[in-house]
Amino acid sequence: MQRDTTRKYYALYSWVGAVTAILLFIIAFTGAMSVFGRGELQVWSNESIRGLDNIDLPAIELLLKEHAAQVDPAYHDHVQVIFPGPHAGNTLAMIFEKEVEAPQGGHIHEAIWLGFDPETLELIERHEGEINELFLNRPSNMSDFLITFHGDLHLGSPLGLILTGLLGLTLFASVITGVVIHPKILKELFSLRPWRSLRLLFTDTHKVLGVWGLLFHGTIGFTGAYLGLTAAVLIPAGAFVSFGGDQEKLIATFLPEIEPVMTGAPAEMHLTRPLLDLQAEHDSVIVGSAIYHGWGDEGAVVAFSALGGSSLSGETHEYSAATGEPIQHYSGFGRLQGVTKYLLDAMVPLHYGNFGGFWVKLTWFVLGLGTALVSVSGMMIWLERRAYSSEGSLSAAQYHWIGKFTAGCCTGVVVATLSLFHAQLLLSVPAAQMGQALGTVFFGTWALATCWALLRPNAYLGTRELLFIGGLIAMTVAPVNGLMTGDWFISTLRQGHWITAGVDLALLASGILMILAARAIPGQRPLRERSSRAEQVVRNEALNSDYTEGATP
Amino acid sequence: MTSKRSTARPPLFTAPFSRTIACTLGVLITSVIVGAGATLYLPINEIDRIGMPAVLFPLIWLGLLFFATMTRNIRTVWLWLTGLCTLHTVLIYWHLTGA
Repeated sequence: MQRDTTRKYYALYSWVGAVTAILLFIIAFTGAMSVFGRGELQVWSNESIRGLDNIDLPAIELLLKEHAAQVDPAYHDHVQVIFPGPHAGNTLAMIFEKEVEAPQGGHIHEAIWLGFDPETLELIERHEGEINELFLNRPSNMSDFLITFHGDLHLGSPLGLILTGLLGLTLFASVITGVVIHPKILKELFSLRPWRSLRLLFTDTHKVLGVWGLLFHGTIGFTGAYLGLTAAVLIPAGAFVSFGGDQEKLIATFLPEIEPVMTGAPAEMHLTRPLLDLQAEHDSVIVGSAIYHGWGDEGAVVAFSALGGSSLSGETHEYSAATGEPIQHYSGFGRLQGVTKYLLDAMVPLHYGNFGGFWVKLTWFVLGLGTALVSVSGMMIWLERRAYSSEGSLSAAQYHWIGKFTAGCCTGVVVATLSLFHAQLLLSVPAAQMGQALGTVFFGTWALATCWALLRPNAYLGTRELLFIGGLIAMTVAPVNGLMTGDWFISTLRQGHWITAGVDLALLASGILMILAARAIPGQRPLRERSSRAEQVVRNEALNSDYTEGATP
Repeated sequence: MTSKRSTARPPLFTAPFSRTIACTLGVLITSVIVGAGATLYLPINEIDRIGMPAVLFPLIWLGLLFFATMTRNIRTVWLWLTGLCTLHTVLIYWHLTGA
């Protein structure tokens, strides 16, 4: 009975892994890259903010007042300033919003969006429209492209979000079943035997990376499932039951609007004074934006959104816009009652690792790559057992095709991601069309890489060649950056543009590692893997340590 | 001489097609309906009552998935899934119509 239960868990683990392995690799790899998306890659992608050390706050305040005076006062419902920088974008944005009744019920927010050069503060763009549309249609770069791809595979809502949410669920299920079927899990922490056989290498890599990153994989699966399914399924379902389908009301319940006590008395609005006060009080925070509620009134409130404070998630700091006096500060869901707020606050930071600075991000990046490798090594074990033994119902040739497809998709997405760096530097298209152009490069490269792998005689050769190409692409990013932007590696170091230099250096190192890995991978499956007696012993050892006797899904 | 024993094992899963449907669509739909319906009766404050089922949705789904995988009799699986769906749908209907 106990043995049957373990076999069932193993079957579940094996099939869930095999069905989702490729997509999970894609999501996990782009997720690992996205850890640096709001920050390092955002700065690297935007020449205009690479060397931006300080912003001229008094000048920005003056500009804000000038434009606020020019726009229709109906657009003063919310006045927002988004500061240029790693967590926002390449322009200084000022957004003036008015709330209007939607024909189908509820409210929509019409907005005037002004974009300014972050250094010269010259007006460079002006858009009008519904606020969500404006946010969606703003110029994007390779960093935005990667983050969106990780979030919804560029399939949009609800399809893309549901798909990534379901992948989070399956990852979570794999982690739990993996623990159940590996009773001696702690022994596997140090069981890496790289030189004995290929299959054992796959098995050990899968186990070691799986066990070391166990908590991380489970957390990523859980939070990913929540984040993917929230907007697409959970909010509509919750709103349907609790608020008669009114999603706006549900969101307002969890994220209550700031309600200033309006006096009717006009007052001058401040930006510099409260912001400097905030930075003096909390020197580790990075302020991304400021929103004024009740612009022009004595009771107006300015709310600064900041990262890096004392709470795990981002914080909101409220100040009186008229006097610059602090009012209160709280985490994202900090104004709620009960325990849900702690869980909700933890979801995004735990998923993206953006709560403890660079070293936490780096840890999340490494562990994220581990999640990707666990999924692909699991797939390789699954294929090895079927292509070279009596397991499985397909022919060996069919398993070889699946292997080549897996190699092409997984190594191909790495090559395609690296090609985005070149595309960002080399493409000369209007900012509004950049996202589409990046998509063409990314998906085109990915499709080519997959076709290439399918045309090679075996998955080993395909992987090896694609890794080599990827390595070359990564290594050439720094010189191309120097040629196109003038930011040569040495000059970025001299100017103290550490992020730009760091990204260039990291890509160079990654390229070297990929080429070394390509050299280490054989051009075909080693013959000794198939026939030697030692292989039989090793195979049995691997099988026995994996699951109980006869557990063949 | 040892006696000859049958080496044929019973299949690991009964009704594989029906079980696959139960483990995928059945479990997903049930967990969404249970999660939505649970917001009506959990004995906690309003915010937690709405928020907890959403936040803990992966656990609801995982519990139902394990149940659908491990339970030997597929009829029992479908009985529970449809029972949970029906119960929560009726609760939601009563709540929305004020019945």
